[in-house]
Amino acid sequence: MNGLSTVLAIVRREYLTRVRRRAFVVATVLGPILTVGLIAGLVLLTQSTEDPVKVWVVDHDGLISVPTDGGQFVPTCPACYRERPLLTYRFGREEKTKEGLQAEGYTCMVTFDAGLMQSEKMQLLQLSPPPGRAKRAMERDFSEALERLKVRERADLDYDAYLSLKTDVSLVALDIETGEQKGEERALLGFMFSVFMFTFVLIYGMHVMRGVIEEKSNRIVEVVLSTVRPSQLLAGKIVGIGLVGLTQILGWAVLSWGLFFVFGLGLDQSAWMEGWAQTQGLAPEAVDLTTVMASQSELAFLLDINWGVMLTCGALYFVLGYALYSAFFATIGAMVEQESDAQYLLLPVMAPLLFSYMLASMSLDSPESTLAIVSSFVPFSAPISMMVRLPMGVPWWHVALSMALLLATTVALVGLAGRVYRVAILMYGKKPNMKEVVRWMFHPDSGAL
Amino acid sequence: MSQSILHAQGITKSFGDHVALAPLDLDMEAGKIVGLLGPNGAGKTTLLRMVTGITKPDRGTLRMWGESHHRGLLSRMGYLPEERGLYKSMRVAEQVLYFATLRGMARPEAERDLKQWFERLEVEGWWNREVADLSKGMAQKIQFIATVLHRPELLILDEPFSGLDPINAALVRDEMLRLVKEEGTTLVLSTHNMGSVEALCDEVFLLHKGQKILSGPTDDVRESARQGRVQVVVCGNLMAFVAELGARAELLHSSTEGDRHTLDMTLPESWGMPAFLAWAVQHVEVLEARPVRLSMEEVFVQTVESVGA
Repeated sequence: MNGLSTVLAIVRREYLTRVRRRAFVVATVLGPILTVGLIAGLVLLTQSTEDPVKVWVVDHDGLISVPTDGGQFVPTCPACYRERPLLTYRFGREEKTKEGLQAEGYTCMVTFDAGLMQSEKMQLLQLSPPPGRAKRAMERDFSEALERLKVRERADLDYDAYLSLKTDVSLVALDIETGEQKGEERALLGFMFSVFMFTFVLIYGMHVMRGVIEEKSNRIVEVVLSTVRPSQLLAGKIVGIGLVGLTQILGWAVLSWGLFFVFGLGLDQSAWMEGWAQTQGLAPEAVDLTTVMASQSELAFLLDINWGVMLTCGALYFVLGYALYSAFFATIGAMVEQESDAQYLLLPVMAPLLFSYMLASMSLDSPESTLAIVSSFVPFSAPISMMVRLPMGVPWWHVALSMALLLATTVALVGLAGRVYRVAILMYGKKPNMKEVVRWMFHPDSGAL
Repeated sequence: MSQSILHAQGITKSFGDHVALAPLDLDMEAGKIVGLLGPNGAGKTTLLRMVTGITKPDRGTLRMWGESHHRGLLSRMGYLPEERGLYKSMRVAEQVLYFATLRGMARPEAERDLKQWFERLEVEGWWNREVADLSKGMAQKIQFIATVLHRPELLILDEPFSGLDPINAALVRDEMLRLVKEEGTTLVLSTHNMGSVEALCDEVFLLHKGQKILSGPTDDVRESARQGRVQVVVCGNLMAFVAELGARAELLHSSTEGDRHTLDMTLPESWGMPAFLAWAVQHVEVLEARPVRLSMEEVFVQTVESVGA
């Protein structure tokens, strides 16, 4: 059997034994569904557990409410206080006691008076703290009421005219060469890719380490090494487990696209879509999910992302980053006889991974900072750091140089790690010290036949 | 003359400052059962790892089947190390077939032969079972099959009977003998079980502290280790006989039953059995006399202790 067929046989075993496991199938098939379901469930759960908020508004000076014939008070600007399922307002001139509020089912009381015009601070007396969403809605409602009041005091200003003049400026960043938008959302997407990369490199690197420990502690390794070279066993294991990772990435990508497609189909035929098309003045048959996404600034950038480049670069960085780190994980596995012994050795390998992750989160605010650019070239952090920059648009030579440096480092370090692996894997009853490890790296013994 | 299967000349191996194997010469002929003996740390595993290509000698030459040792020869060997295991997450047959594939065997041929081996070792029902479900003895049988499935010409077994009950040990032993007899397999048996060495091995090599301290056909080794040991049963005045014997021979042990005295003695090289008997009958009535063959265990202990001393 030649060297390549031997490695392929090992790759086959490593791959098949893992992809056939129930845990792998469940994680791959149900992963995207569970993630989407979990998020949807959380949203629903949050909404359903929020208690309704009923606010007693004390309008001492009659600034925002007027009495009706029945002795009730109604707002002068009903549009400012929209009725919502979770938030309702009632107005009056007098404050209520705690018992009075409780008896009438109020959860809080606010006081709107002339002093507010200067201080812009309102006191909220609460029986129970209102949810954040309700509190923000109240702030918006009272701000609008206060604005109207201020505008009304100026005889020369009409509120509608004021609204038409009121302006909020937002900065839209564009690339000076390509004219493409560079928003925070893009950096966020890049960060999500880098979190994904960090997780996958760590999970599959640990798989390699566990595989090596299993072979060593179960004493299979001596039988295998009487047939194959240590380098072939190591290569077969790293490639086989890496393919499992790629299979999972591919599975998730296909399933996510499928879910997106099904969701889009469902949305196309929904009454919501018809209503939305009408509000936009479009024909219902002319709109679909992408039209909706394009109209939302938070989602529109997703349509401009070059997904082909993102996914190809993501896969390549995963392959190289995984190969680099898994060689270290394999070496640690070879140096111990059980997983618990590996913990103190993991720190030097985990440190650059965690550091890259921290750099990636720091790069969120400034993806084009010197730190972000340098870390996307450093081989240990490149797979994670470059993913934050990629959606922003990166010169092709940055990607090429980063990958070349990563590839060269991977080849060199896999070679060194292999030298330690082949000696350590046959060593029982004694943990090698750093001096020995360095000696095996740079002054290898005669090795296998 | 039989074909030489292994020829080692001056092979050495060191790990740091520790010399695992001093310059060692070794020859093995095809078709024999060879016992590789030695106390723990003698260098047996190091030697076997060199033969099986796991490590290379630091110095010296190692020739297998008349060729300089190379990886292409490894598929002609089967190695069952003392510390052995199986992948727990695989099915039994799938695992054995994986090892056969690594050793260059075609899958259909491996499957066909594996069925025969499952019948021979009475494990037919275990084809699709999880390895994790195997008992220790059952796992030993599966490991034995994985070692021999690719029909190795040289079979190296390190403690092959450990963990096997007497019935299964006999089953495996019979298969080993069948392979040697019917297929001409050469068998290297590394073991501390001296009973199996006596019963099976044509030749033995005894290693101690990385050096070969004894080697040769098992019978010759036992005979030469006898060193004049005899046992005689006499009738008569024991005290007078022993006094007369004086320093001519070393009396190791005596026991008396009625008027029969059984004496274990070591005769000097210059005083052979016939001369001793001719002398003894002048003093006592000699009822029985026979040379004492040492067990392999005694040979082992005696040789290692003499080297240590």
